[in-house]
Parts: sequence; structure tokens; C-alpha cells
Amino acid sequence: MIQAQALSSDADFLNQVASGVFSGSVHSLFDRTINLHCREKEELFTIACVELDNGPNTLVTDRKRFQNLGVAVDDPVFVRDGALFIGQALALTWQQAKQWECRLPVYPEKDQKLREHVAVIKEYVAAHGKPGGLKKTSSPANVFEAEVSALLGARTSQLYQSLALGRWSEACELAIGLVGLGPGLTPSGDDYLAGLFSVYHLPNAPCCLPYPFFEKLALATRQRTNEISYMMLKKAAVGQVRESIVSLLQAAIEGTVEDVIRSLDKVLSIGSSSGTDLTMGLVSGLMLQLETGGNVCLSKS
Amino acid sequence: MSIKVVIKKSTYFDSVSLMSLSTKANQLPGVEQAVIAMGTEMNKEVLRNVGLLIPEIEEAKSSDLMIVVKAETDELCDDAFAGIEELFAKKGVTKGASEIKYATIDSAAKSIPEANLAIISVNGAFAAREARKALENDLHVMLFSDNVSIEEEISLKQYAHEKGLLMMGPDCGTAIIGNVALCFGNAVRKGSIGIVAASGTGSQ
Repeated sequence: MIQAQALSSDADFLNQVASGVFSGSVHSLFDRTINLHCREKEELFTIACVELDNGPNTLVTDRKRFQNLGVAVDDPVFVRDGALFIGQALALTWQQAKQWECRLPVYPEKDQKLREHVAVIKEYVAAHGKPGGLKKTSSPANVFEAEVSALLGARTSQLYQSLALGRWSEACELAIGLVGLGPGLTPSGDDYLAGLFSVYHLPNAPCCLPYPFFEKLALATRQRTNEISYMMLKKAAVGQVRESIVSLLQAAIEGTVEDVIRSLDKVLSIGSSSGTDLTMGLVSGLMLQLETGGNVCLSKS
Repeated sequence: MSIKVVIKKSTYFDSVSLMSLSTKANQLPGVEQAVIAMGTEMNKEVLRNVGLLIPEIEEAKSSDLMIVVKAETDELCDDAFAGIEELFAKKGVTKGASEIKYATIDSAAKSIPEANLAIISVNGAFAAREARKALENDLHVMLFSDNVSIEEEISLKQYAHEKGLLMMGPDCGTAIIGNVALCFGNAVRKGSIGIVAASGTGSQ
């Protein structure tokens, strides 16, 4: 049995295991993460290796990698004697872990700095972003990739226009048309939406979206994408995103250009094209806030 | 023309591996099109749009992995699936540095700890920052880009000197180090003569 320590964790996850009410099974395994299906919450939770950032439903451990631990899909997961057991292979203690909560920064009263930083992000993504998703590749591997790229371009553009005009019902249908679009584990359409939603949940943001928008989207999403990506979207729909996205938003709002680039590099390193797709959604959201500037503020009620 | 599909139930691969597998699958002999993607409704719609949707694909769920191959004959399709299975089996051991594109110098340095040199060729506006990032990761630098200010160049060279690293450039177009030609370097015999010359002198 390998012992590992939690270094930090999403506060709700930490409280859940500390209360002893956490059981389920291993959902999926990767080199740097183990996803657990929690029976009590009917949600996925993630055990992450040391180099990953905090996130919703995520616990970061001191392990460098999870490969060759002897953990397998469907292994039972339970809490006993102050440890979270993952099969017969891994026991996690959490008593020293720092609590993390997703706190999005407040949208600024004066937006000049944000405007400049959005331009920096766009330029940097154009130079350093990973193609293959929202950012077009000059040499798609096959006709499928080319068509995915064309659809992503057309649908994100339509969604942007619809949001700019404040047509939230139409926007919701267009957003649903992006869910599950793309070959990756978190499809590009999902990543774009997660980035976009994070901006709409900034406190004091001039433009907001009504609750039914997210409610309808979350309902429609469940069958349209895989469970891992669904969890990301479900959390983003209530303003919960991973730490690197929060840092990028913070830097864009109140940091320096160097802060922006540093945070952006971390986001761009997520997945294959996921970080780039997330950033492009975030940029769209910020541009909508800057361009419509409160003229299309939809009621939250 | 034959189109066949294999559906792997509840199978997850990280996006970097999927991208790499998809690229290699399309290079297998006899393959006209190979698609490896999660079985979401949207991805099935894309397959329909490009003429690759066959009835069996409808069975795929969002958490399943679809492998679709189009080839001249059924036999070539089957050969391709065998090749793709081999790629899946090898996944863990074939993830060589040369097959992966990294978004940043930080991620590349972290993933290839044995690397000791970075060649940087980006827009001049970003060149000094990228060079500094490479130096911070203990990499020697060959800075191909130009349009870097004198102040930035001095700062980079001082920083490299402090760390005991080489900082070649900006506007460095050719070098031979350890008998390895970089950028526009020529292949030459190994010998005892070293040449250091300014950009534009035609030393190469």
C-alpha cells in the first residue's frame, strides 16, 4: 500500500472526506490524475499529482505520477481511519492539506487595463496557442479535423453574435451545439464554453446570463459529452473553474503584462489544445463584456 | 472503398495521446482517413458531414472511443486496425520527445529534463522573453530572432553569464556545437578549429 499526502484540496472535497462520507469507485486513470466516482454526490472527483493546479472537486497530492501504482478502474474507494483508500494500492491522508476555493476576481470599474491585457492575450495565443481546436491548424490530419475546425469557427462566431445581442435563448441552443464537438478528452467546444462561462461569473461583470441559461445547458450537456468533460462544464456553469484560469483572470484584471503571460503559459499547457480553447473562450467572454459594456445586461432572476 | 469502425467502451485517453495516435493512424499504409475520437453526438454529426458515418457508429456513447478507418478494401481496413491497436499498445513507451509539440518552453523543459539547448525563432517582440524563459530553465540559447533591443540583449547575456550558460544571438543564424549543426549550419568534419563571427559576415 502506497501512502500519499494531500497538499491542497477543493474545500468541499476536503470536508466531504473529512466527514467520512465518501465512497465509490475509480472511474478513470491517467498518468497525472485519478478520477473517482463518488456515490454520495453522484459526481466525479479528481486526485491530482503534485504538478497540477487546484480545481473544483480536485485534491492535489505529493505524488509525481500515478502510473504503475496498481490502481485499476472500478477499484473501490472509501474513507477509513483518517485516510482515503483507493483500491488496495493507495492511501491518502489529508490532515495537512490547505483548503482551496474558487474565488473569481471582481470585474474592474475602469476597464482600460483589462482591454490592453485582452489584446496581449489574443496576440500571445495567436503566436503560441496550440492549433487543432479553436485555433486552426494549417495541416489537419484528416477530413474530420478539418470539419471540426470549420464547425467550431462557425458556431463560436454565431454564439458570440447571439450573446452580443442579448438573445440568451438562442445563445443557449448555439452553446449546446458546441458541447462534445472535438475529438479530445475534453472536446474543444466544451473547453471554449468553460472559458466563456468563467467570465460571465465574475462579480460585477457588466453582462450576465440568466440562471435558466445555465440550467438548460447543464441538462442538455449530460448526454452530449463524456463524464469528465461534463463535470468541467457543470462546474464552470456555476462559476467554478481551475486555479490556473482564476489566476489568468486575476492577472488580466489587476496584474502586469508579465503576470498575464506567466498565467497564460500555465493555461496554454493544459492538455493538447484544451488550454488554447479555454483561453479563446475566456477572451470571447472578456471581449463581450468590454464591447457590450453593460448595454446588454440580462437579469439574473 | 471500405469504412469500418471499432468502438472501445468507456475508454479514456488524455488529449495529447489521442492527438498523437490520430496523427500516426493517418500515416499507416493504405489508410485514406483514420479518425480517433470520443463518441459524442457532435462528433458523429461531423462524421456524417464528411461521409464517414456508418450505422455501427450510432451505437457509440459519449464515453466510448470511436476508431473509424476508411481504406481501399476491407482487408486494408483490418490491417489498419491492427496497426492502430499496436499504436495503442505502445502508447506508454513511444511517447518520445520528438513526437510531442509543447506549448511553452517551461512545459518542454519539464517534460524533457535531458534537454540543454533551446533554439528560439519567434516574432522579435516576444524573443527576449522566450530567451529569458529558456535561461531560467537552465537551457543554453540560440536566439535566431532579431529585433531585440540592445538593453534586452545585454540583460540576457549578463543573466546567461551568471548562470554559466551560452547566450547566442539575437540574429544568430548558424552554429555547430558538439558537431551538431543548428539552423543554417553546414555538415562538416569534426576538427580542432572554432570560428566565432558576427551575423552577416558569411562565415558559414
